[in-house]
Amino acid sequence: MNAVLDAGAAPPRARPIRDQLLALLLMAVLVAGSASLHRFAWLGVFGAIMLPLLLASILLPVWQRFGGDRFGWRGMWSCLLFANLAGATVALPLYHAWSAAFAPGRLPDQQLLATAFGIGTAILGLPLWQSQIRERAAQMAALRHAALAAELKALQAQVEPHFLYNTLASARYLARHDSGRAVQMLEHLIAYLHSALPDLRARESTLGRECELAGHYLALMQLRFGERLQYRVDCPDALRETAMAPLLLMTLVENAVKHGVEPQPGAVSVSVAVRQVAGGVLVSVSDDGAGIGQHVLGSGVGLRNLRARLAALYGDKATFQLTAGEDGGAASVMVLPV
Amino acid sequence: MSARILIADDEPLLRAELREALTLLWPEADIVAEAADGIAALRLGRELAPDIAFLDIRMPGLDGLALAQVFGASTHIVFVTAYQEHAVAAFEQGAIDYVVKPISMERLARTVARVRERLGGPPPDLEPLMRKLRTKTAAPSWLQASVGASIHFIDLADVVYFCADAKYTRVVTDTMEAHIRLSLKELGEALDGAAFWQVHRGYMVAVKRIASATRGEDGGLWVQLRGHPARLPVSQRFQYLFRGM
Repeated sequence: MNAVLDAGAAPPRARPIRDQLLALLLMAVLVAGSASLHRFAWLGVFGAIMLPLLLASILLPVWQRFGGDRFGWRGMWSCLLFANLAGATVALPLYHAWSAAFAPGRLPDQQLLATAFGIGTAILGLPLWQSQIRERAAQMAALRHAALAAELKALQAQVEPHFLYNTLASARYLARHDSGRAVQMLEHLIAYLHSALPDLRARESTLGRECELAGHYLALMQLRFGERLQYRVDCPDALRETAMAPLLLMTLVENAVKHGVEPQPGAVSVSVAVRQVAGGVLVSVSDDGAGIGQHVLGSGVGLRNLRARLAALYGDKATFQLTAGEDGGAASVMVLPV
Repeated sequence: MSARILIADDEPLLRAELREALTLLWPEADIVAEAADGIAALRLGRELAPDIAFLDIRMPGLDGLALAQVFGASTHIVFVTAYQEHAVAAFEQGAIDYVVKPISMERLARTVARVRERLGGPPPDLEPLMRKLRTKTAAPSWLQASVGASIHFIDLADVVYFCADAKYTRVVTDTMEAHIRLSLKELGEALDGAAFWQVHRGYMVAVKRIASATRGEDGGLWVQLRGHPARLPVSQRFQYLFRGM
């Protein structure tokens, strides 16, 4: 979290300086006015109020510069309260001395402390609170935006022409030579498209449905790759109706095919498993294919989108991890809150 | 003597379809072998020295481009590529033979006609094409870093700086530090030079995170970062980056 006072409103630099000058001018007028009118008691209270404010407005930016990012908003609030409290505490003896020297008939201690502390906190707390709200709203908007972008990209990937064309070309060949398998292929394709296409309009899907979708996709790929690809999809019946956002699982399965199966000569098996765990449901896709060892840099958007969607949908309640499998392949594990 | 053809594609059905289409369009040709992956294609290509090789670009083991580099000097290569692969434009410019999957008979017939004409002469030089394709690889946008056994994916946009650490590199973001299995030098070659500056033998920094460069008491130049407490040294060699800053 980024604790920046007035987040997002940094660029127009000239305004705050002008505002500060105006405030200084106003204060000077007030001080000169009350001094010329010999209102020294009044001036004493005014000074006692200004001291915590001054201290807080010096301390807050310093705090923000050096510790703000680490301690977040709570840190900013603590700093504000501390500065005001310290300011009020220092102001009290100074006020005593002032009234003893210039103006008898002073305010009771508690009243002065409360006024100095209260006014300081209110004057600086309000903008702090506002910028906190603004930042939260900006964060939410950014998350929503990321989720939308990720979903659009997911949709694009879903109907990737490459996938569709190659599947149809395979079906065309099968139609001429093995019409039984051609029909099988087309049935999987229809079922896959049927569940893949309307998914983004319906924001919720179920684990069972997502596993079915993954199954159809893998069946299609098996028809295309031949015996080179083996797969299994295990979804316990008890979890079939569990709600789950669409296309998260598909991203992992597509990745397993693209990075595990396609680059690996010889047989590869992909397995999708779902089980209940303490934090929710665990969804894993593992393969014994090419693994993730070789590439350090990548330009793929699949996993980035997945992370963005997980963050937008579940905040930090969902986890995702990609690990190198024991037998050389890769395993991606996602834990989703239920 | 009839032309001897090798077909390499990892999808058996598409391979069979190409074989069938070629048999129809060019009955005299002899399809001497089929390969299901790049390794098999390499072996068969060396063993049989075919006149023509239809090579799928994306294949397990070795891809079509790498294979073309191995025996493209003696064999006429026809690349088989998926829809809208970025290589297509390069093929067009370089007058390289290619067919796009799914295969259209009409298109394949034209390619076959052209290859038959060219068969008498030596195959075209593929080197300019290779050079073009090498520079065309997309700029990376994320990197993989390991923390223990798990792999973290780090968005390059989140990286504050890289730091050389023995033969590995330490990547530092606002929230984590991890190791990547590339030297700082290799990393520098792969990354976008406008987004990351090498400021020192041991440090490469995200340009957008540079706040200022100031002279220290020792006379050395130091980079201050935006929103990060680290201060990175700038070595003499790289001080030109900050002239005018």
